[in-house]
Amino acid sequence: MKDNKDFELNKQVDETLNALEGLGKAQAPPFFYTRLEARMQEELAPISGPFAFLSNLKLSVALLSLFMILNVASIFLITQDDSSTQVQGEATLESFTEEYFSSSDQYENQTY
Amino acid sequence: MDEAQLIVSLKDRSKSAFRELVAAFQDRVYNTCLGLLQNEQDAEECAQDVFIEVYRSVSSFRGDAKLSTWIYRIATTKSLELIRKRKRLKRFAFLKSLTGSDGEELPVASFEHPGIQLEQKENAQVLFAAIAQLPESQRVAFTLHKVEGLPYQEICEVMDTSLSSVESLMFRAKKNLQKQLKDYYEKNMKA
Repeated sequence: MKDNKDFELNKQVDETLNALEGLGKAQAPPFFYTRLEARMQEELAPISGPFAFLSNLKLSVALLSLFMILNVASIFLITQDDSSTQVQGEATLESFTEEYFSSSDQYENQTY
Repeated sequence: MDEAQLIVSLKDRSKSAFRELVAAFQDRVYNTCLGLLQNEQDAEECAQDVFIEVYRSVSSFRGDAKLSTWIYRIATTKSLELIRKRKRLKRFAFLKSLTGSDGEELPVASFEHPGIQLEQKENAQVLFAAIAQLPESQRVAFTLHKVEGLPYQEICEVMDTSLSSVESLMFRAKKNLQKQLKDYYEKNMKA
């Protein structure tokens, strides 16, 4: 009984393995070239417009690098100036206070 | 136009030469992609990718291999890229379903090759599902031989390997398929 089942099983496996014998070739769908041509026109056409230069990889990398360098330089300069800005900031605050919160008689005593 | 002339014209960006190339190879490329991808839309997209790649890189084609071998090589590479992309998407969908953001699963394909004989339809579906489970190199060798009908020698050139390697790949592919089919029929065969 088991031998018979194994025999059937092996027969089915062999039949399935041979299922591609005599397989016909699939053909490309109709208008394949037309669709290909349309896609190529879309993909291979040079990019136009104000940002067309970004399609140039070398130029894009150079611009990006320049942008990064400028950013790093800005951060460096800002942190360097921090201490002097603090002193300057205090001076500015003092003059601001003096300007706006000075006693009113200062104005009263002024002669025009 | 012979092959050498065709290549020269292609390098000169001749539109008529490109049209001739597509006309000569479109069925072979499509059939190869279809055999590997087992999906008609994917196969058409992939066949288009192949010809776009041919157009882009024909200037670097040195003529060491036959034009057909080079095109088959691009077709198998592009098909494998698409298979990997599909697997990544499947994994992503699985992860999404685990996180509960999307419970929808990708449909399971039951591929029917248009060239299959009617009486073999059911068996061929099971066989194609088993082929899809093979490791990449075995899948490529088996498909090029059984679906595209390439001789072992040409498969060696397409896969850039030796004859003994191709024979070994085919042997292992058949063994793996036999095992998979046996498991499948043990579970699904009616008593």
